Amino acid sequence: MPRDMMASFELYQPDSVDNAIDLLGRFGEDGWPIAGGNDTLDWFKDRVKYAQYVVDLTGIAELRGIRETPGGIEIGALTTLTEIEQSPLLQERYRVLADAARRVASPQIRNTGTLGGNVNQDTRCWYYRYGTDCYRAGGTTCYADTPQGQNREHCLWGADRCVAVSPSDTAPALVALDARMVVRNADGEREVAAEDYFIGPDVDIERMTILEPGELLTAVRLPSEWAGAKFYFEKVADRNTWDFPLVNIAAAMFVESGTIARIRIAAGAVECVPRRLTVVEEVVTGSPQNAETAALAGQAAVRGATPLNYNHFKIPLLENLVKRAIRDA
Amino acid sequence: MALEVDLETGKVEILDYVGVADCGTVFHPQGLTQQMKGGGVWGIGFALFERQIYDPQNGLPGNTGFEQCKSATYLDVPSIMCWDAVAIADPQNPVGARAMGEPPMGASASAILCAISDALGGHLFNRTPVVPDMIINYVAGREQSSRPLQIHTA
Repeated sequence: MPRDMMASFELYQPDSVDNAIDLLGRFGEDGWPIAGGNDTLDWFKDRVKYAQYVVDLTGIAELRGIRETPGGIEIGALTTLTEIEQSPLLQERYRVLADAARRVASPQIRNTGTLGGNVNQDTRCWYYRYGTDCYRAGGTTCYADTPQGQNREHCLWGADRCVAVSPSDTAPALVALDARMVVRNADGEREVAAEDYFIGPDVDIERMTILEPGELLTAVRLPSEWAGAKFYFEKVADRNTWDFPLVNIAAAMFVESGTIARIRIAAGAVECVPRRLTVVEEVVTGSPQNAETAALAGQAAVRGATPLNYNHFKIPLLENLVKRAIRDA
Repeated sequence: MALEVDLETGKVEILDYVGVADCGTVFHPQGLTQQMKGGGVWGIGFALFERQIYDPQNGLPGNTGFEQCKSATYLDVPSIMCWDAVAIADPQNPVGARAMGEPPMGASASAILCAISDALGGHLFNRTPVVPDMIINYVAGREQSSRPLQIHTA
């Protein structure tokens, strides 16, 4: 397999979202939007995926920036992870997202990597990335879910032919914040809850989000409902930088006189989508924020987990992270 | 080597590193510094991160890129690493010198593994690298996914 050399493609550099949508609509399945390029260029250089027409979004000014709106904050999809990490507005009101962005990859990657790219990136299942003809790549086998499959990084829930997980650090934070994803296509704009934006293999095995060819994620809106809550984000990866999560956790909660009044909590890298832990939310709402509640929450979080040969450590790890999120937020 | 093990996440944080070389007469202290620190960082990679992934059923290697090789990064090593040399001239060598390119790697890796074992009450994994899942499984009383490496004594 030739590596390191990209096949040639036609590059388009639109200067507005309308032009980009027009181009992507025209190219359909053969088009590929590129922003930071950290995921895209890996695919191209490894010659595992190929696009005939590449639409470079980085020249579109309207996709950048963090703005205050009447309902909360709107973040352009092209805003870099460094900008999110360093934004005083996000640090003050939605710290969980700034913390999540800070733990993505390495400083160099965060300087070019965008919020849109981070949530839309493809899974890191190494068999899929290797270029095998697995289910996700249109084939009829899962290489990871076999007796000898090296599936340490794979899923605990939602397996359906494919056992890959969501690799994003910002996605669980967006689910915890009840963010709205703004999707544009030729027909106009629509808003989708972050929780519904990500899809598992049971819905479509070849995509990880609801984005269809010809559609673009243009912005993410954070509702003011969760601004200034108590937040918790933690990512456990092998290395402290430039690594994908083994499990990560994001929580937002309001605590009134020691009692958890409202909470949203989500975990990443345990399912193909960021997993909202509704059962934990139900267990802890109305309970005091203490070690006992945290222990119960941890136990509730892992109920129903179906591990593979090499990833059963994620069960105690998720339990511990949920415990910490409730106890230490 | 001094380190902390987080029993909830399986993460190991190295707090302190001192390497001392029995390398005979020191001719080039700056070069020795680099070997002691650089070799130490490699040893940290051996002990904690650089895991070979291989699918025996399909004959597929999992480490096909630099990112998957997981060499230690700046945030995985102590910010200050110290070294010293015993500086006793080697009597077998006309100028009193000894080679010392590789010893810091093995020494640093061994020191980390001993420190982890000490932190876990003497438990030995008999396998490297010691990655978070092994520590989490041990603490939770779960079976390890990978067996200890076999010792071949033919």
